[in-house]
Amino acid sequence: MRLPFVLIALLAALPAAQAQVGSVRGTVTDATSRVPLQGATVRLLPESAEADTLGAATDGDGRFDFRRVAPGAYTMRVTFIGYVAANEALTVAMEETVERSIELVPDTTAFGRVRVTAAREGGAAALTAGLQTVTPADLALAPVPGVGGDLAAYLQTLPAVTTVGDRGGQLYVRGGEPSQTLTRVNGLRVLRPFHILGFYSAIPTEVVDEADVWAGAFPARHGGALSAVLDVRARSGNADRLAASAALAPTLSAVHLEGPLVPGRVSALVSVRESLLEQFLPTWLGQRLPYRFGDAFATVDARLIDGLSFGVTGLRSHDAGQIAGTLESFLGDAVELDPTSDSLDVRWSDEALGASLGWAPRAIPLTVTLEGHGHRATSGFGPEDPPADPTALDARRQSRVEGWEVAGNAALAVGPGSVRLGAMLYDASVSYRLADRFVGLTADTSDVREVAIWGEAEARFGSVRALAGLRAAQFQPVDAWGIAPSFRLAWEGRGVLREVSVGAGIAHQGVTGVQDGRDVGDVFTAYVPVPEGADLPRAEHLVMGSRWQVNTGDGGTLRVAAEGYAKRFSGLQIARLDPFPGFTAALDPGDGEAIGGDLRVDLNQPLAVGARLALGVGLGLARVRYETDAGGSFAPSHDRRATLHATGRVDWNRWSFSAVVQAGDGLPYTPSAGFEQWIPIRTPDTDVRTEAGQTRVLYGERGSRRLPTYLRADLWASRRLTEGRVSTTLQAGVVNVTNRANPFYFDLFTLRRADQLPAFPSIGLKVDIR
Amino acid sequence: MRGSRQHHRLRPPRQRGGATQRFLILLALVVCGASLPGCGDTFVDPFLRDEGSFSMYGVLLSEGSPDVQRLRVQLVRALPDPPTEPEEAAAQLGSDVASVDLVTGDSIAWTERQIRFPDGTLGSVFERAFRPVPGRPYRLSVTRRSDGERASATLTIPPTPRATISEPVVADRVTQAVAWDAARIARATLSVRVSGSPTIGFQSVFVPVDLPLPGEPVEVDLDALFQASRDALGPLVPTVYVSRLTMTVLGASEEWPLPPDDLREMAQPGAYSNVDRGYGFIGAGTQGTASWQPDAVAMRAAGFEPIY
Repeated sequence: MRLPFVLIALLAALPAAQAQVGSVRGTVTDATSRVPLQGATVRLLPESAEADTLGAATDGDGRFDFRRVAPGAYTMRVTFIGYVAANEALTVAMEETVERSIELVPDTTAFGRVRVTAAREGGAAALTAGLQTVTPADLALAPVPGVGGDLAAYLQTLPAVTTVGDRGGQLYVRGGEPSQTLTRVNGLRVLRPFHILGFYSAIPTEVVDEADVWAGAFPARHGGALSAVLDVRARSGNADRLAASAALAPTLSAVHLEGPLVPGRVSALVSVRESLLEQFLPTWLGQRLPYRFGDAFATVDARLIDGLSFGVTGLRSHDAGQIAGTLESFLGDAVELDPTSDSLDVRWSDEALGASLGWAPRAIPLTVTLEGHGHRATSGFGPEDPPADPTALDARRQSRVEGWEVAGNAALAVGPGSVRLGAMLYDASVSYRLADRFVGLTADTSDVREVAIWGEAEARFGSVRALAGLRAAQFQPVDAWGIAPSFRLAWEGRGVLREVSVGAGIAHQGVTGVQDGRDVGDVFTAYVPVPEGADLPRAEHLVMGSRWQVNTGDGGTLRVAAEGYAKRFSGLQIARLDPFPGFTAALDPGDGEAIGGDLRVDLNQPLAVGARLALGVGLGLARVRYETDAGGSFAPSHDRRATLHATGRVDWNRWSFSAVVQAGDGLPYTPSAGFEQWIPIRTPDTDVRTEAGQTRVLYGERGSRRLPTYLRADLWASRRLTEGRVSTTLQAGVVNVTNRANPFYFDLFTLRRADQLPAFPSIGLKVDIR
Repeated sequence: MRGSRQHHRLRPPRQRGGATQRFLILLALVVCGASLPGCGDTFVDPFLRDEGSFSMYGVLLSEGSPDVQRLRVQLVRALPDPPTEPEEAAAQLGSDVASVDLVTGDSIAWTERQIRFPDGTLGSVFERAFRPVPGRPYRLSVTRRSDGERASATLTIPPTPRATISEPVVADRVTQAVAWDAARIARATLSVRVSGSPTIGFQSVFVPVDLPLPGEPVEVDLDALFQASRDALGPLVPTVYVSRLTMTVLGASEEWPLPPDDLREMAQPGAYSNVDRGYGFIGAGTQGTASWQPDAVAMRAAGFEPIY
């Protein structure tokens, strides 16, 4: 418990705030197309030697904002690879705001768009103690059927992430289960952020400004999740002009529109996507593709008066289909499924609506944010209309979470660091209904609550950055406090060794997501609160890493990141391996651990005749074990020991060619000897002539077998034409080009096997108006 | 019991290779998969192949009439549903059951009967009329005719239980302890011969007995026994005359331990089984009987009038 003292010491060491400042803000756009430029470097070079040089990068709307600028004369220098640098003189007065709109002229001697991609400061190797910030440029590295990339597809190329495959919407981050990852979009909670076709997230690329993937050791501002945090910040829309895009593809078509409601002050962004698979591609290669999914997102961002902002964000996603919608396989003999009796329907939905109010006074370097939102998530497994008899073949599992959250935080910039304080209250109703065959009906509804306060202090000491935090949260109904310190430290180098980082922390979670560990690839999750009197689930994280960078000549860079991590879980609520068929909400307390390491290599290299190569390779080794008193030690179903991911992209003039290869050793499953009628021989009076017995599954050792190695290779090509503000992109490619039969789902009770997508060609067209 | 042994037997062959080897295989697969469609085996076999094909349930009893022994035998199925059609049930088994006296070597073939249970499902019950000899080991085995696949259970018929009857205790209640030398008592009944007349009309009144924990005696509550007798004889009887008490127990074999209270715990595969290369449980028991004349003082204290 030394971290609180470290936090206090850091707070005390920070110098006093400087209030006598002005500010500079504005936008950077392409002078030809007027497209906002994300990632442009804006530097304020003071004429006075006493003032500091300030730097920033533009966001997804091309904006930059310096809020603590010492009064005086400056030269603003704006640079962006592929554009001619711009310089502009300006003077900052006390408590005044200087606004500038910079238009960069494309450098006709370079291949602008190509260079933009290469110059980004993102990529898999941009990793600091478990934190990776994903930008829209990163997403383009992992194309998906349709046009462009997607957050889900990109995350799947990271060695820190394990997935059950190309459907099901389940991502496991460094040993954690999907329900142990907290996903927020503009602060909204999203329980199922990925679509049933696992290429797609519920957050369109057009919406994403940045996404922080905290694979562990996350700071105190995040809590209520044992393993990881996915924090997505959405773009607020173009505040100056109308922009739109439309994409047409059989898998997922999309429309997005953004623009000013009040120019310069109020902007809006709306996105709607819907799968057209059922309409245009109900079958493929003799296999049905019964998937319906889509999402809608809308946000309004308003700068009310100077320093005061208001935002509203809403999202909805829905998924339905049959995860075994392709072929049924009985020990290798594939037969067509009977859709009328198939009980592998799965569906889920997420809805959330929230608002935030921000205040950033110019006089002091302070931001205050108040947020509130409500959300509802449902999950179902089985046919839409369950029969009255729960013991009939077609049965249904349902789960629902409805909740609301209010939160507030304040951040004060202090010298080269900052201090943040915050509080939140989350209240939800969690219910499930399991009408499974053999086990009858079980149902429960519980109220859960989490009340938390937290504080963080960030400081810089020369080339060392430090972040210390403490979070105290009270969870109901378990009625327990979770005290969670966190600490992150990074040393920045200037040579080949660019950074060494370490992070450690504790996390707690009051709601457990229960999955049936008996079916291979099960995607149904029932949310169950940690019961009163049980131990509060807790995780201890430790992550250490370093990054290197080498210039490879001709403007190319080779970046390497290596990280090792360990997570220790205690108080887990682990689904019991029940000897009787059927999903069970019976839980056993248990512990777990995840140990692993990642190696990531990014190469960005200009090639001859204006082409550029972006190559990324990620290798991951991990080991996850769970242990319960009743079941002993075993490998949970997401214990993927080794992963190898590679992405390659060549941009040449207006052409792009991409390849993505994902490989991983097989996930564990529990074999069985089969089924029998179990007769409890308790007394000699047991009459075997009248006792029919109870169906029992004869399990072997839990998690003792592994599925075949997962291997998938995707190939893509796209061509983009730009005419003024309009650009048109045509993308074609093939998912699983080797047509490998990667198993996705295996029902140990019905022996149904569902394979992931076969070789799946796709073509898509997208029109962008900027 | 074979709990720990079974757990060990269920363990599959160790995964070969360490992390380095696993990674090399992965790299090879990537290269292979990129060049050859369908490279590598993706077959998923959910079944354990070496854990046996049968389950057997029953109790081998050495007690009074009837002497028919019965055994439920099943072929482990690939799917949860038990058979409901006779042809289906017959096709599932196709096996023979035999018992062997391991002292004499005598082998007896059992006869199969197909039973339709109250829930409409079908199952095979093998029967044979014989009385196993107390203290003697037997092996019950089922053998599939087509390929010789076999499961068996070896169990020892427990020796005939013998009782040690303690002096009754007259306190708040009148009790008498009866200790049996069996490893465990699996069943116990107590009867008392009573009448409303000292000379004629004696009848047996049976009362339930709580099963004792292994090694502990059966506590006979003579007050409760009197109340049960009075209830049986009716309110018009002024005096309850008692002649004898008889306790009959079934001593369980050592291989038949006390079942856990939690059925799911008991049902865990391998947790409660004595079948080799198979599943299920077969118990064995021998009946023992003790009959005694109660102590006159104690019986009067309980309300009886003893007749000797």
